[in-house]
Amino acid sequence: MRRVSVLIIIFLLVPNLWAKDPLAFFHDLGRKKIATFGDAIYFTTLTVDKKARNRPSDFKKNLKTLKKHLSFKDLDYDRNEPLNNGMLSLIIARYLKLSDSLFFLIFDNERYAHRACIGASILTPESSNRDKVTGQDLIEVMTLVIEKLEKRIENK
Amino acid sequence: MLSYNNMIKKTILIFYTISFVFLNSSYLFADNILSNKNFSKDEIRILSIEGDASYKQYYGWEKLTGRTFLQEGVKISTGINSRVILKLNGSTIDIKQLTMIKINSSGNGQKEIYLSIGRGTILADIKTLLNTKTTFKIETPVATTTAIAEKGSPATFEVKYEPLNGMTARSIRGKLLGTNFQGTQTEIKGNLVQQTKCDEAPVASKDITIQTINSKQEVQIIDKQQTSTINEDTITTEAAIHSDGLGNEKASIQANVETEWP
Repeated sequence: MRRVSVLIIIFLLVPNLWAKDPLAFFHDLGRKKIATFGDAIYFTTLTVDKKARNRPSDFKKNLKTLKKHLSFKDLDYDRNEPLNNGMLSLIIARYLKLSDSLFFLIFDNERYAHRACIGASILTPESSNRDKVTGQDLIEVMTLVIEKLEKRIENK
Repeated sequence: MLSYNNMIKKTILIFYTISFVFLNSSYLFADNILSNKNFSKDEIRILSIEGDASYKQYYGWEKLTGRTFLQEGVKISTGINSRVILKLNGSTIDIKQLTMIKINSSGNGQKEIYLSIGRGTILADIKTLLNTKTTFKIETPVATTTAIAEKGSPATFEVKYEPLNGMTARSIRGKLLGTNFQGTQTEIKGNLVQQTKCDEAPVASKDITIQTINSKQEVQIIDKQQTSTINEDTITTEAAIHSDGLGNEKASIQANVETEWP
């Protein structure tokens, strides 16, 4: 009787899981005043590996996935570090392999990655590499990155 | 006569059945409503869903499926490489990836179709039914775009809103009227694009009315779409209370209000 009760309780709860929000990460991110480095890494991982949606908190695995798919070099930031334009630019410039900026190709740092992103019309010229990135800004910039990638694939 | 044990088992079974129905009512009854309902041309219909999409009707966000029953006031959000196509009163709305919108009015009963975009891009194809005129309005925090389709003159347009870059409206077919926060109207047609940037708009671009001060404890702030109540502790400046000369006390305050959009 006890086993039957446990099974019935599980049976009752399972259907509720079907209605769960698959976009919880984006909804929470949209409300954040400052995004974190971990948010940016997870967002980028989602664009290359759909299975990453099951592990939003596994920062190390997400970073490993990015290294595997995109040949990312080490990024020495803490997952909870507030995200700024420089850090975000570094991720994007490496992701898109922006080769128009000679200084970025040589130095591969935040400052020149930011300039490369401005040159590629991903970030605005008025921005600074030290500006903090809000959740909405991160979503907007990554949407632009995804659209650029799609255009590249179409043009091939 | 049932034994005591059998009675207990029956009671427990009835309890579990009622709990199951109660816990899953929104999921079960939504399906039942859809399977028995004949859709009229005025309702919000989901034509297709690609990838991940969510909706928020009354409670929190839930997964959007092809069988979800949507009503006016619903918010819809899409994920990466995702897309939702809806039909609203004869017009088709293509919600692109990473977009969040709110359907304020579906155009039912000759009202205008009225959407708000929180972020992202939508492509709207407006067709008018019979001899009516269809007005389609899309609002963003910085500007509003209106398209009017009449019989024999459908309209297709794309609207994009990004907090950093503002609103971009593109008319693909037909005529669009773009209105910025200052009320300036611009006609957009022939595949032209109008862009309204965020730095051109004030921080609080929505109309806000101070409604009441209730025992000097609460202030109700009502804007076009929602009512927010804030307590005295959250007001950043003091309320200046003055008499209007008729024995009524009135107060005016400055408050920074953050409203959830859309």
